Amino acid sequence: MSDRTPTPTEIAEAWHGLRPAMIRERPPELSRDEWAYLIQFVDTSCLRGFIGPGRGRERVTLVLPGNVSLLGPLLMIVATLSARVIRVKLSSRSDDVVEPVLAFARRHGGPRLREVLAGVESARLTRDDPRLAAWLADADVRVAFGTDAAMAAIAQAPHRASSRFLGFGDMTSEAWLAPDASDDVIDTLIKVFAIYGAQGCTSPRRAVVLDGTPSDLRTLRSRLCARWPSVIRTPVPMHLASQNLLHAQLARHAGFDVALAPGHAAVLAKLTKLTPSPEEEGTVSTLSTLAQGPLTMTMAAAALDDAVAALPPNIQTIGLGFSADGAARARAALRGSPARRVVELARMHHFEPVWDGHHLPAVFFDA
Amino acid sequence: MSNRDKLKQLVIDVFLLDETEFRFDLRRTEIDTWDSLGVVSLAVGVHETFGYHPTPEEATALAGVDDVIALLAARGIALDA
Amino acid sequence: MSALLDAPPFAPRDDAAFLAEANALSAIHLAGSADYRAIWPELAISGARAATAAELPWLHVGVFKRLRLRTEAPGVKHQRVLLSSATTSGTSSQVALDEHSGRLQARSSQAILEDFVGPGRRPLIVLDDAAALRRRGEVSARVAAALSLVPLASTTTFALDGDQAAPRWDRIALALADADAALVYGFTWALWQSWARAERPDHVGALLRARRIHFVHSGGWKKLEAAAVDRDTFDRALLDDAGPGSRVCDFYGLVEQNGVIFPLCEHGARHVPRWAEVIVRDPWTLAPLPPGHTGLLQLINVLAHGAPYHSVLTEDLGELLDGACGCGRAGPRFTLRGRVPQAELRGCAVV
Ligand SMILES: [Zn+2]
Repeated sequence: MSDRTPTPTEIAEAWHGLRPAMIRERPPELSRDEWAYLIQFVDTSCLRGFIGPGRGRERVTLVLPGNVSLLGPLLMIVATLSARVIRVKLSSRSDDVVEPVLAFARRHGGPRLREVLAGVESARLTRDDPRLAAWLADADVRVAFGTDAAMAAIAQAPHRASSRFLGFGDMTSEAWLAPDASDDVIDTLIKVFAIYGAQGCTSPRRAVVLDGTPSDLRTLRSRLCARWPSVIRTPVPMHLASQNLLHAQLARHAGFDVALAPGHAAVLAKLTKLTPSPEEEGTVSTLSTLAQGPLTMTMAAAALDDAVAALPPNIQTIGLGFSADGAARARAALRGSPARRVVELARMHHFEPVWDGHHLPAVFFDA
Repeated sequence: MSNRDKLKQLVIDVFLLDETEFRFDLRRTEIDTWDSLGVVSLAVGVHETFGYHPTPEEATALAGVDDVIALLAARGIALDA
Repeated sequence: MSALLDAPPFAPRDDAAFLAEANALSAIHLAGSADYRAIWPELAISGARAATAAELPWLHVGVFKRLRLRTEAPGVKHQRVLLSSATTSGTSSQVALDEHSGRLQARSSQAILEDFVGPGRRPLIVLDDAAALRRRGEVSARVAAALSLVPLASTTTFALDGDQAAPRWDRIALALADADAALVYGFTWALWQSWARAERPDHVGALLRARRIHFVHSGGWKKLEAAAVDRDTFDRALLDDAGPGSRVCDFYGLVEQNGVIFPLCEHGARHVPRWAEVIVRDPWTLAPLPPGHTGLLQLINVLAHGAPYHSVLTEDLGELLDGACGCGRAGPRFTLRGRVPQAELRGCAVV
């Protein structure tokens, strides 16, 4: 329709213009929390941070696994700011949130947004589909989520020499709290956890009470249980309530001291200590994949240095629930640690221009 | 449409209320849909309708329809205009 | 041996005797399985003393997909491992069978089935491949279900070969030749595909129409629902080519409750035998629910010694029924309300 290509800022504004429609209608595939986040994300002031200097890279291919979190649509939106041709490989097996967002934007977006979205193609493909190979072969930017093995295979598939690769592998995150955390901090932890449980790469799969005692840890768990129903007012779906009963038993079997949040909303599995003795190695410090449930949060008390030392190599985000002093101390101790992001607890899931150690504007734009 | 009617329509739209459920003294605790999405939607809606964008802190602090009225009044937007 | 098995399955119950046996069984599993003690640490200390059936310890059915549980106790001789059909997750349940429980389970299923199809031996035709029997060390749920009918059989004929959908009608004709009645067992879907909808030679049809046939099936309706086949259509298709007095018997059972099966009675209820108990629980509180409320089914029996599968919280939904059943069977009864709906939580690296 227009005779020139819109600028990235104009595209961001086109997304922004979707918001009046977004506050009145929500695709049922997205939860209320997810949709709220998306409304805030398409604000021009937020999208502007993802625009780099120079020309946008033209062709982006996104490879998304089944049941991908909101990161899928968010990256799709970021890609539209720079790229003309965007291909999205969706799981051939399960539901997804990218297509509902695309469909909504095509239906309610203005002419400019619809024109941009005409360049987005999505398809449910298996990993060996020749179309995926073709999409990867000519892409300027390749973005993939999944297990480390799946990502390595995608990164190695034939591609242009100049093509950039962004891999989001199997990462884990932690929440660090003070022993005397305020009710606000407790509520924030509950909210952040309830969004994806332990499933997101930015989900606090483990909560650590810094410089806390076993009794602080017990208190924290009782407070979580006491406040949970007032913070998350809708009951978990029945199958998750049932799965949590299963994972509570599996965590007990693995040696954890386990409590269920009211309504079987989460499994809260307490450790006696964060760093196991050599003979306990691999048995108590983390839940095995066998026992880690979708809504299982492990909890431990530890000294700051021990908490840093016990970080797993695939640590993504640390969410801090402290006063200013406590946060500064934790940040200082985390300098040089493998943690990719250290943010306020409430911002754990916030998708930002620097993500997983990558500066996204520099990936999507050619300065 | 008066500002009063605009606010009423906005609240009905973003919280998915039935027209008969609406009251100007509705409290946040009475509305299930005044959750995270409700807070964001109300802020975006107030901006779209009245031209003022509440800060995240202001949006979170709103505890009833009367708070919205007070917030607008403080920005010089009278409901009876 | 369980004294409860000495009376017919649906005779008046002795709840005190049931509770005493169930408590004793929990104590055996707590003593003989470290895995079970780890899952019920408080009982490992205080002992198993439930005051009601609802207070008995239980295991979530998913535990059997992830742990291979075994109870060591005097007199328990472990045998094969019973495998459920793999679910959508691709993993199957593993239940450690033992000699002692095997005898109790065979008595149980025989007594329950006789109550529905009547006593007396008759040819058993199994819509499955005999090769399924010959796997070392383990036995599939399908085969286990078929084997539970063997005590009622004069002869047993496996009627399918390999992956062939069409049964060996020649073998079936031979089995039917000298009998006036027969049992035909298959998974619900197999009975539909390989019997109801299969081309049948005329002479086999004639043999069937002259005999009283009990079609016994289990395994659920999911595939048939997808094919838009309801119970009426299914039953009629089977009974069309069967003699007077023939019936279709649908039973529900779990490999994690081997030996206790729940056939559908003529009034649409599933009755609980004296040596078992069913509790319907609220999924969000585990509170036992009264009749008329749908919840998670917990199944309990006093037959399982080789592993703690005597009390299992299932992912099946059900509802207890109030009052007495028109069929005259005593004791509690329930109806199935499908399975807990499944859906995955979103994440990043979930493939
Ligand atoms: Zn009955």
